[in-house]
Amino acid sequence: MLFRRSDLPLDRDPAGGFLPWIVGLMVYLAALALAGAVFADGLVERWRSDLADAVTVQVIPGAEEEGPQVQARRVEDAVQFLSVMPGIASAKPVPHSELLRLLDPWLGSGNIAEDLPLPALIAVELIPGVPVDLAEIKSRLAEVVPGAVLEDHKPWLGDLSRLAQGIEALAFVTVILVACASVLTIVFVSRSALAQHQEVIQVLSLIGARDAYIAAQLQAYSFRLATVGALFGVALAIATVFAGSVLLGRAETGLLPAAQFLSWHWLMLLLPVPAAGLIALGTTRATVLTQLRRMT
Amino acid sequence: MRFQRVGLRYGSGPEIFRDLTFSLAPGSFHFLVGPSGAGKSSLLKLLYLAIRPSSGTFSLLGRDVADLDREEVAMMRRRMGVVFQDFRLLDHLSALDNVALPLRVAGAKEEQLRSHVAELLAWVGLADHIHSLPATLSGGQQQRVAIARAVITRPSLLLADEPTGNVDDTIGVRLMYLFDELNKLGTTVMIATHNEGLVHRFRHPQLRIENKGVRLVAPAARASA
Repeated sequence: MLFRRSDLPLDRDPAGGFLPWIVGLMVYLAALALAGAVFADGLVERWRSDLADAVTVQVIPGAEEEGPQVQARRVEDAVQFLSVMPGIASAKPVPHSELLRLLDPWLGSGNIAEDLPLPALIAVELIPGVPVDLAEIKSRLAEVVPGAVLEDHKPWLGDLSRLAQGIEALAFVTVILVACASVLTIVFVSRSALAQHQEVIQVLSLIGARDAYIAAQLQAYSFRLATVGALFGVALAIATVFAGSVLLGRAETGLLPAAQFLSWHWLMLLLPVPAAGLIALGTTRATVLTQLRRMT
Repeated sequence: MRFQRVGLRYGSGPEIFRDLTFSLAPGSFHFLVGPSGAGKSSLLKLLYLAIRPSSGTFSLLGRDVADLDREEVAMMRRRMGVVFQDFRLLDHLSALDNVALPLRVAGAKEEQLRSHVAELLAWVGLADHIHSLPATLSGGQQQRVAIARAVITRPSLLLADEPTGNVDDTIGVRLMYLFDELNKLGTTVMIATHNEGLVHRFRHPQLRIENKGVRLVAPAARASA
């Protein structure tokens, strides 16, 4: 694929000099778009695996005169009801101390009055992979135990998934547009190289060079330029993503599950390099073969 | 090669050939003569397939050129050597690389090619200029590189446009011997020239272009006798 020497003095082409820059910029954009998609996808995946198989049941305290015993019984009822439902692995009341700890960030530790009516929480774990009709359970639970409200994480996880899908679609469109722009640039550069070297190409053709031979020379040239450009673009993109994730890591709060870049995500950022090389090679070949047929 | 009622005109321009009909046997040697502008170069262009006839049929090396696709044209050109009037050397390649080009284009192995090319360059008197770029060579030296490039593949058909135009008579004669030598090995040779001296010295039949056609003329010496 790569010629040791070339029959065409391509290194002196003014248009070719721009190719690595343009391809580098394109690849930078494509790699960032890919990084965004991978990041969003990873984030949702983490949340999903952390939260999808869990729901929470709140038991809201009744009127004040009922006292804490009534609430405790309701919690027990709810736990009993939930434990026998199909698809539910376990239902455990969240201990009072844990509840207080959860409120710490909002109310500060030790500031909660003993008699503050708090809702009781039941952590419910679902059996992974078994479909459960949560809406049905929710309405039946509300009938059996007054004041028990089942809170499903699925709706807002769904919103997040749609957001992530949106980001992915955006990244996809970006990559397509970037690829199209690269193809057009390479068509232009190839045509200008052909025009620049028309005489040499004519001589090659007159001494018996097949179109494929001539195309191979230009092909190798644009493959080399595009690959060099793409390497720079990807290096820059990786640096950007790295800097971004360091900043994000610093800003991250305990509320959001961390979405880290795993090693294969980094590998995915390298994809634009061979892609750019192959696009350049194929585009130049197609352009040269078409133009040569037109020239003679 | 065989021309049957071949006509040629460029676009809607004036007619250059009309009803050109003649054929040359393989292994023949002809001078192509005629006043300048009569169409010597056009006839050569037809022969090396740079242009196609506007009418009539022209067959070369046993094939009607109208039937050839691009691939076949390339294959046919590998069986020809052409010395262009303006040489058409590649300025960025050394004499060696220029001469090696037809072999490389045809996919020859690098190791076979070097000594072969160097040998031929030595034969045309350019042993000391193997690595020179064309721009550093004199007109006559460039012409010899061009000739070496045309004959390196031992072509079946050798076409030359004024191949002795830029060299002094001794070298001109030496080059003619090279063409003669190739001809003896079976190459069909056609040399366009207006060097009457050569035409007279080397007694080969002439193709004379006149009145938009060609006329075969017997070898010069006999014709003038």
